Amino acid sequence: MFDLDTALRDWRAHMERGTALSPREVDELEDHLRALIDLELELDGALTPVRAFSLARRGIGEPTTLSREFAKAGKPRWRRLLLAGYGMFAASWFLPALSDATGGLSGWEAFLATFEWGHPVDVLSALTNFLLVVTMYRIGRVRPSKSRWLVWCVTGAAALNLLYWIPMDDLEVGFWAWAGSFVCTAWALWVRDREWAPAVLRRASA
Amino acid sequence: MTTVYKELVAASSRPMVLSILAGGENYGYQILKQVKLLSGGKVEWSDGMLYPVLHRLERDGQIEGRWELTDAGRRRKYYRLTGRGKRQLSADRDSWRTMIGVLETSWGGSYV
Repeated sequence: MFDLDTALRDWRAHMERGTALSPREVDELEDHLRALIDLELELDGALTPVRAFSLARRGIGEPTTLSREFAKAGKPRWRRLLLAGYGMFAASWFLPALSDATGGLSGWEAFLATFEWGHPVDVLSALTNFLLVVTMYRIGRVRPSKSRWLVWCVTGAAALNLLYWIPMDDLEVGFWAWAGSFVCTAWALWVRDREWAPAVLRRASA
Repeated sequence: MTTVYKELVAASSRPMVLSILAGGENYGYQILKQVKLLSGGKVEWSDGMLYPVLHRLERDGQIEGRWELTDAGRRRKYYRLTGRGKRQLSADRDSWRTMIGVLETSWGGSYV
């Protein structure tokens, strides 16, 4: 027995798996799909709901087609911020991060050195690198509602890395790229969180 | 029936959406219906084409959207024109009128 709500739920799940669209964008497409189903049923009274759903689904397009169309509108702001963050993070490993009398340390060397120095906050700051790697893994796989802890952790890491290191006077461009990468990533995650949050609804006036 | 080629449809998508929203707040499905109605069925946008256009215009601050709960309990996003959108529409209208004028003049000459 065909159940329209179940079919729409399956369609939503299919869209969310097959595209990079946010739940709000899928909400909008679902409203459109429902309107198309209503139209199909109105145009042909003999049409079964399953056939109307099938026609409407075909009309709105497959996830790959929709993804292509949405991609033409450009990347969402959070994605651009995230890419900037990851780019700075990658560069920071090879740029001079700390200067000293012996000629300075690259980001990679500074990372290893913090474990040799053994100061707990240095080590904690170095470990935040793994947090950024976790975001790379989770960002495309987990809905923001299930990643709120990660948003807070990256924000905390950004604050720690800036506030702890900034008073030191031997910081080089690699450090700034590294600290900036945390700020950008945290910012991206907050923007993504806001864009993907459930819509604030208002009752229709008419 | 004359069909409008897709590059022209794509180029006119912004002024088309802005013009429709200049008539009042509206949502995706109705905007598509308006496009079909205004063109007498000669211009038909694909369902998937409209939303990226709307989202780009929203990101550019030319339109703004807000969600409503319809009487049927559905979530629906309505869009309306902003001040920036009105200015853009005015500029688009001037550009399109210029282009149409140039084409009309050339078609009225001895070249066609």
